[in-house]
Amino acid sequence: MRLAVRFAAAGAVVFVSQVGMAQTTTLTVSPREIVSLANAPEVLELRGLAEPGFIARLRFPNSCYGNAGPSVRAGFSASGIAYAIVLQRTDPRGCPDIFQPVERDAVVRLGPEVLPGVNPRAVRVIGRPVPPEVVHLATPSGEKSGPAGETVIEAQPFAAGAGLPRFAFARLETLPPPQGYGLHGQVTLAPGCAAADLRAQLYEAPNAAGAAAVDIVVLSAPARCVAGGSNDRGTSVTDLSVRVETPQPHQNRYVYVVNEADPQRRPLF
Amino acid sequence: MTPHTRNLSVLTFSAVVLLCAPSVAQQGVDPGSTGSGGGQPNSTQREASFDNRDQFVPPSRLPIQDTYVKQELGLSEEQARDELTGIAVTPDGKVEFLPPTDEAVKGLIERVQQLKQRSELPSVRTLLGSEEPGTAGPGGTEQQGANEDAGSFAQKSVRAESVIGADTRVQVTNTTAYPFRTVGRIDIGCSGTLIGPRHVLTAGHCVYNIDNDKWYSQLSFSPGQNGSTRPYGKIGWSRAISVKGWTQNHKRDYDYAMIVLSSDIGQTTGWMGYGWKNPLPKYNINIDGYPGDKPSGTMWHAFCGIDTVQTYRLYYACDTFGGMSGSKVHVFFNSDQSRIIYGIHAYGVDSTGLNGATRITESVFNNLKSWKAKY
Repeated sequence: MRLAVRFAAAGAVVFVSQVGMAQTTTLTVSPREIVSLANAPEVLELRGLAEPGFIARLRFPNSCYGNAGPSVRAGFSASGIAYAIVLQRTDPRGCPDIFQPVERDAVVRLGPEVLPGVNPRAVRVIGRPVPPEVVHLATPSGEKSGPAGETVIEAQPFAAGAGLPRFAFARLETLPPPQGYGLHGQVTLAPGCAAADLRAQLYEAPNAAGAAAVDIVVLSAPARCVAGGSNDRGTSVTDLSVRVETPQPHQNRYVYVVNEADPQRRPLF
Repeated sequence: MTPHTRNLSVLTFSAVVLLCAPSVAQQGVDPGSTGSGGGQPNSTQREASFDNRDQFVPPSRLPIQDTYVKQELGLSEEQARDELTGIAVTPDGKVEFLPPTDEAVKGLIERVQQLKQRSELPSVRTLLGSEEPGTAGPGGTEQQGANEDAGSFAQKSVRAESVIGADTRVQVTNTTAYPFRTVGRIDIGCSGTLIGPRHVLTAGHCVYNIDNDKWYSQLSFSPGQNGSTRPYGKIGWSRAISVKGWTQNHKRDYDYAMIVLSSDIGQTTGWMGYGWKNPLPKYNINIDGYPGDKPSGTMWHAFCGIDTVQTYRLYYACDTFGGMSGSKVHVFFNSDQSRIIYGIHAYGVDSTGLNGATRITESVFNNLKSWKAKY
């Protein structure tokens, strides 16, 4: 298969700088920490579940990958929405790279690791779409009474015990590749938490022509640090910059930060 | 890189250092001539069955493991001959057995003997399964090979260590330029490369399904295909050949094959050279093929450095996808502008965190050469 995909082991690099009295934290995502959705299964259809989660109809390159199944990363955001990203699970033996697509259903549950004592208003699923959509961003509908399908997957958190703190976007700064771009704004954290608790991840979604088209930025922090929603306990607001180093050109690319209260696709060009 | 992978790399390097016995590099290259290797005509005829399903279920329950050294050490000459025995099938189901050349058998036995001697080093016994002695050290200081420039992608591509995660494949749009016109799409959902006037190198699992022990019949080849355009047409096939090691013994180490086309399209497109080298340095490699996640029928290029060289496999972080099976893994030598195929892409990420190819060893090389000469 496939794109060699690895998750960053140590998370993004954190720098803290002081300008006057304000302290700005910079998280850097290097190219090797980027996870491409190009090798994720295609998301054909989504249905809801009575419990937090969803049922996905997925298309894999061949049955070996289908048997390995999807891997789902998820987190609970301060806005009350749970986000889930559908990826490909690796078969430790490796799968033959023949292309003979198969379709499989997967039941994805968002368990307590992803939703520690909280109930999301909605689940938003991000996955590789069937062309010509650029990225599949949908809320499952058609609630089912119970699990169905062939495979049951427990979603894993973006980082152990982590949630998605609120990010208020301020501005975008683009630089020539491979310097990438910078996102600037403020992040809201619960008392007792600091910017050093934050981690940035980037998932790269392709368009119908196969080119990287949407960067999905996920900022995670320990669940205890996630403040927001209707029960906003947050008093710690920190200036934050996310620096994305990418070898890809910016043409026709967008960035999407799931931590925003109302995430927007922002053009990088 | 995950901590696990990093540890593996460290262990791998340690083993390589320990195993670096003084040795003289050996190699062989078929630069593109039709060759005159001695295929032995002794054959047996029987009927073959084909897997003709449109949406065939490929090897899903692969009952196969790497051939570890403990298994290899017990390999007799008779078994070696069996693993390397070619099996050719025609579209009408005629099967022909192709005994390997004595040279090919001798080459495999010699490698087993080398492994046996090295296995006496107790500290590295567990890693001997596949470590290739004498490979280049870390840091890429001994890397050779250059990115096959398809136009602008030279500056877009980055070193292997940087491409992990992000998709840095680049579309090949000039598919009628050499060497890209030697690369083609195989109908079954694979890629292949001309290594002779009518000889297409590909993976064993692209011609033979070990899940149901049947041959594929959809093996037509479209060199230089670019989307819906087939500049050299779609060429039918007259024979598919693999080895018993794959078709009967289901071992991944023998996952290679040749498709013989029904016309000499290579006289128009040219073909690529292939070779073996021992020890094989961690060259920079080029992979071109037809990944299924991209627009249908488009050719894509990946470039990176070899991460790990094993006895029968090559591992790398080049980005690939289903449909790339059978793609050549070749090195472009800037010094003399030559290109040599050293592997056949076959598998996606496994427990190593890397994609992998079947390595062209001396015995694979000898088999390919004799099949070319015979057909």
